[in-house]
Amino acid sequence: MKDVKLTINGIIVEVPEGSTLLEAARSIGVHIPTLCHDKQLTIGGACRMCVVEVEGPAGSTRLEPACSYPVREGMVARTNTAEVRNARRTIIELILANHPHSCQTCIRNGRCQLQSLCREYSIGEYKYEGERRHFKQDISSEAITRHPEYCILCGKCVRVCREVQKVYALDFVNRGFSTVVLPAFDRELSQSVCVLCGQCLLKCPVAAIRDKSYISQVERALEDPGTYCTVQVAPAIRASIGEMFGLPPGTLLTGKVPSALRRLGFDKVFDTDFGADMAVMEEGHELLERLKSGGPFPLITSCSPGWVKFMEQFYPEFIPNMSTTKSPQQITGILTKTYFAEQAGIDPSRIFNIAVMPCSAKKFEIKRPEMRLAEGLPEVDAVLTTREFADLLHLHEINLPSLPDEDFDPILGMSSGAGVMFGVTGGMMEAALRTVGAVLDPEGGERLEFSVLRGFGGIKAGSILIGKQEYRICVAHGLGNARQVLDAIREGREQYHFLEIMACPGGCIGGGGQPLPTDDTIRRQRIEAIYAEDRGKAVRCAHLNPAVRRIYKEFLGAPLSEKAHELLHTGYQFRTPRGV
Amino acid sequence: MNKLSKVDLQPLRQVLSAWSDLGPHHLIAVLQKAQDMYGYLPEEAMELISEIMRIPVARIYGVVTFYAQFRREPRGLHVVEICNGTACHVKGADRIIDELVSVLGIRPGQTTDDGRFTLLQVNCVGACGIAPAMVLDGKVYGHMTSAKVRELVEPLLEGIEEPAGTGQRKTGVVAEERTFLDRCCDKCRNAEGTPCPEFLICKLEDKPCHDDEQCAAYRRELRNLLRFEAERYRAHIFLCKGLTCEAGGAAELRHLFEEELSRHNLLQDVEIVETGCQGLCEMGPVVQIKPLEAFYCRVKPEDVAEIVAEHIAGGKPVERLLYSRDCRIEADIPFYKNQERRVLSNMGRIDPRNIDEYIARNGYLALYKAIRHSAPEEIIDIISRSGLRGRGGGGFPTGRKWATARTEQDPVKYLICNADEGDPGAFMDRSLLEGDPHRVLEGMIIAAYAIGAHKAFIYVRAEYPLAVKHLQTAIGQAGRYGLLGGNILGSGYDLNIEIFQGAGAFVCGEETALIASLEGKRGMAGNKPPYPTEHGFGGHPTCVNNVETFANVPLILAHGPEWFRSVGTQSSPGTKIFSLSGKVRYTGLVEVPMGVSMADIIFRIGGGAPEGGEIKAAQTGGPSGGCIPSALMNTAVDYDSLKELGSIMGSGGLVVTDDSTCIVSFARFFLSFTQHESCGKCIPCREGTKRMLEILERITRGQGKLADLDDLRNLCHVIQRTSSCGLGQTSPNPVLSTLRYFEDEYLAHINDKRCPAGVCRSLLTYHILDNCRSCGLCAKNCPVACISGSRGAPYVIDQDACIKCGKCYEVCPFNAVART
Repeated sequence: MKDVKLTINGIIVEVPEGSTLLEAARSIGVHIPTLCHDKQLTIGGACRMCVVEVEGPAGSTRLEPACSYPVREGMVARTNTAEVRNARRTIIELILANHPHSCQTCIRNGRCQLQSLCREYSIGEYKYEGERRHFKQDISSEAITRHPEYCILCGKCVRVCREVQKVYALDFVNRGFSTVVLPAFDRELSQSVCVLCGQCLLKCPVAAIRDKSYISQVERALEDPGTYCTVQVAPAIRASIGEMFGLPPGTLLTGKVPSALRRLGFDKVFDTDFGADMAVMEEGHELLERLKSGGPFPLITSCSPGWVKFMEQFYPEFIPNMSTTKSPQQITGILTKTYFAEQAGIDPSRIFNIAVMPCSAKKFEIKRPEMRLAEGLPEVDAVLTTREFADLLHLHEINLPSLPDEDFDPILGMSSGAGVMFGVTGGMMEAALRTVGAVLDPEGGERLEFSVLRGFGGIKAGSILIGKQEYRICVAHGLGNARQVLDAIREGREQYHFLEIMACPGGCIGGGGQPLPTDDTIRRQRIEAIYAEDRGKAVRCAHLNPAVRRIYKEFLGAPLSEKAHELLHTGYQFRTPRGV
Repeated sequence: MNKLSKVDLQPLRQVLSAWSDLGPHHLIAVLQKAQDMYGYLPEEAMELISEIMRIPVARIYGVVTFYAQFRREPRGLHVVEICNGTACHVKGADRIIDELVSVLGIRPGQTTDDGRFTLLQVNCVGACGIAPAMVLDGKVYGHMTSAKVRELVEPLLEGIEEPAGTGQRKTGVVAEERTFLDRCCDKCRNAEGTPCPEFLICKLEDKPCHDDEQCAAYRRELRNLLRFEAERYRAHIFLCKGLTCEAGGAAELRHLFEEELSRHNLLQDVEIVETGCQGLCEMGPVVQIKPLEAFYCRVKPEDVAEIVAEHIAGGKPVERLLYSRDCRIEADIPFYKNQERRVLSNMGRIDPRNIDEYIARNGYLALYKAIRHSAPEEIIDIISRSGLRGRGGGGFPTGRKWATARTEQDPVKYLICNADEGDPGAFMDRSLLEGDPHRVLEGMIIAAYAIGAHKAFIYVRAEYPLAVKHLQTAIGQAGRYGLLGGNILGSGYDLNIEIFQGAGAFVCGEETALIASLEGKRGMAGNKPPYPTEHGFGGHPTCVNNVETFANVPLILAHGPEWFRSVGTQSSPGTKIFSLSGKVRYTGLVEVPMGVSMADIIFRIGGGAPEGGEIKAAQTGGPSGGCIPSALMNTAVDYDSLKELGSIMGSGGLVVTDDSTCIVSFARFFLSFTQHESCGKCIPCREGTKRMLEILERITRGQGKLADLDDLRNLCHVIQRTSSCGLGQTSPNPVLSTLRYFEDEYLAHINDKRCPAGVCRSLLTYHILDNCRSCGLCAKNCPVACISGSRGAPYVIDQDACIKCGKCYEVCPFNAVART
């Protein structure tokens, strides 16, 4: 494509035709503030924070939004004139006039983009006093809460839900000053098609979308001497928690996490990676069974609870395709309250079992009625997101990066490289194929990495050869991509044996529970960290994990045994409201 | 979930299954249909639409809550709508609302508990000529007063329903139907369903395919008949069926004329033509009679017998109904004499439902010549040379817009006629569409051919049902005459035109919002660039022009660019139509050359202020425009001069105010309109106009500070410079222009706590003077019972309890109540 030459703040810059002024400015390190812009989404143009001065004919100037304004040959722009600063300041003052004046008590204090802009633009007073919009908050869902009074209507939640996830749970409602972002019919989120993936929360620049917090519940359990507290940590946490302590994205803190959890007072620190290894065994054998019996294909993974809820509402016709294996969280959870409790001689009703997850929908998953022991106890009692986990550590003055490295507790804390791969897109399938490959083609030698499954492409499809047999596989992450794949399958345009779907872009490392900001660059850095963790492991296949072997030997028998079915498998249901 | 609900979805399911295309851009039309069926939009209906159209419910709900037309609750049996337009505001609509609130006991937006009445405040209904206007169950009533409110509403309150069918009596005689598709002889190639592509030049220009004396006579007779020049009629009666005249009682006139004519045995000798708006709304209902020339004003049903007996049968005009002794026909009347009616030349002279009457006046001849003999580029060149600028308000050169759309490589292009005339105080487009729809269609077909579009839309406000109806009729006729559809006039060029009814959002007049709306979305403004001519409807190049712009096109092609430029100014050639309303003696539809002065329009055409008033300012451009003070009214009116004065041309609404208009509350009126109509997308418009409105409200309540003016100016500047679309960018104009010309009035409110016009309630006090005769009428009418007194002593107002409604001031027969 042709290059266009223009002048920004007196600096000559050359960018490809079709670039925006914002991209051109960023390419030479000129900062322009934005609130509604996001590279992953279509252009908003709503907040007007990014206005810059553009020279027009005959000495005239215009203010144009840099985020949407295309560059032209010979264009002259200035990004920080007195008029521009005054416009931005006025816009901030206008936002504040309709925003709660409660910074100190706000959950996003210190992490709020509006607050940062107030500091950058030296906002010294609440200039305009007048009517403020009043809306009720929505705390109906298990995972995320909505607070429209804080909303600045940047629309990023609407766009990510519509464009990336294609769930379309939210839209603007009313117009003008009464505009508000809501689910259809002003209904609560729990009554909407929302799948609780939490991608909207990641996009929200203020505190309009929040975690449903379980911190106080966890604190109560930790304080109670009669309660035995166990915890498990999802693979993606170790690659992202450092960001909450100022470390660069992709810093692995695998050893620090158990150390920190013990300091918080947990009695046992387990690893979701272990449950992931178990999931590989069960789901891998489901695949083997289906290959033997001829279907139904594709077998679709079930470890992402946002995806599962999406499937139940939008594509329930795929229920027979779903793997019945529970997610690693639930497997680790139920084995804690059964196998571990039995071994350690602890009454499972005394156990408070916590999961630290990169995921919002995991909070919904633990409340599903199927995810209970026979006696009605929940398999997992509470989920903390990565952010909540960091908040809890801060509250206890535990500085994660300075802690010594420690190991997870055996044996539910012992895992292979396969388990940690669950944290990234394509990882679950890769982990499964390591084991399935070994069963189908014992002579073929150990195959560990499948390049077709790696990388950040939204839909990764291809064929792999195991022995002499070719298998069609596909990986999709982000529900918009999942839709594409499912539609193609439904319409007979594509056929696969095995399909991995993760609700969130990038997989769990890009989950709705992850640190802010989470963008595509950061997602890639976290993915690399997970790959590194896998490579560093002595054992990289689930079936070679000694803990896994011991559990089957001592407790479950074999994969897909009756007991394994009873404890490690689940079912799915048609769920309303149906999505279109 | 729906088990217990009473909404029967079966009919809707049936309607949807019969719908030919359920693509997402039909969402708004589908919702309109559903609302027609249920009276509102039940959630169950929206869910069904979501399921069938595969559109997420959240999106549907977003659309439904965006547009004013959609209702989520059932309405009352009777719906009373008060027009919130500028002219109505200037002429005291607030008082009409107060009266309705007290009569019905509900606020605007509410429905009475018994479900009998819904009271609504609605955007301009376009009846500015007879402001203040009220719409009761779909019928427009003008010149409303408190007394008239009671007269109309009270019988309904008591359950006395109007007998059904009034005003809709069937007309008895159908005039002899002669059309241009009739065949002169067997040689004629016209046939049912396949009109001869040459019929226009054959019948209009005597260029037949065969020469025959008899056929030539036939053609002459046909033309005469359809031009109302046939000698066999003794008279033609031109009945104005414009909205204003209809509201004034014109609906019944045709029937009465027929009865009277029949009584005099004249039915066969007189032709009655129901025309669109004849322009002089103030004097409606208007009836013109030709060739026995007469221009009758304010004709009432009881006058019909006299007109027929005296004038048509007796040959002696009815003097008392004429405009004046000296002004007996249209051409005599200053209102018309001082105009240059080019685009309006058919208005009042043909029946808009009759394509042949349009054709008889050389209609569609320009299209024939363009499409058969000119390349698209030549047409664009003619339009460019004419200097025609967009009549919707922006004034962008039409030729340049077409040229951009033409050069786009995309084989799929669209043309859109923007008939979303939402400016309060504007009714030009409505009148044109109602009164001469074929002229607009002809312009559209030429434009579509020029840019290379094969599909066009007319985006028209749903609040204009008659315009929609006439357009539907016109499109159907044009199709039958081979002027639309496939192979238009034998040229090989195809075009289809679809009508899209807007659902009530002023912002949809902005082209990107209009296109979003057409795509079945919330009418939120998009980012420009890319401009619609590059990336418009469905991502394809789309050319959007206003109604009046299209109406100019056939004239320019017929008479040439030089003719067009022969009037107007160098930079703004041609004429412009204004809808003149407010505090002016003759309200109505006015067409003048660009460059005439505002004073010419208001005084020479409009007759100046009504008795006793003094003109203070003229407001142009509606909520996007500004106020021009009387001192500057000699400035020539064109796009550029108005801009310099701090206003804009806009689409042509011109509302005159006099000394009884408070300029601060006038500015507040416009801001409240913009606030209400802001799409809510960008912060400066959504939040900024709100704060401006609040500051203005404070000032009118006497709580303003001097610093408020600085804040206002800063907000104006930032909103102008940073808003996303034209609505936001121009929204400060009413404030800026009034601050510029009437700052003293702002200061009077702020410093002296005084409203010079005596309008701002909080700043008024009422007391009873010594000439009180103790009749007690004021006390009887006081809604809060704060007036007391007794016979023999003057009455007294309890100032603490007074709500300053002004009722006492109005009712006092002795002028003993003073307002200061």
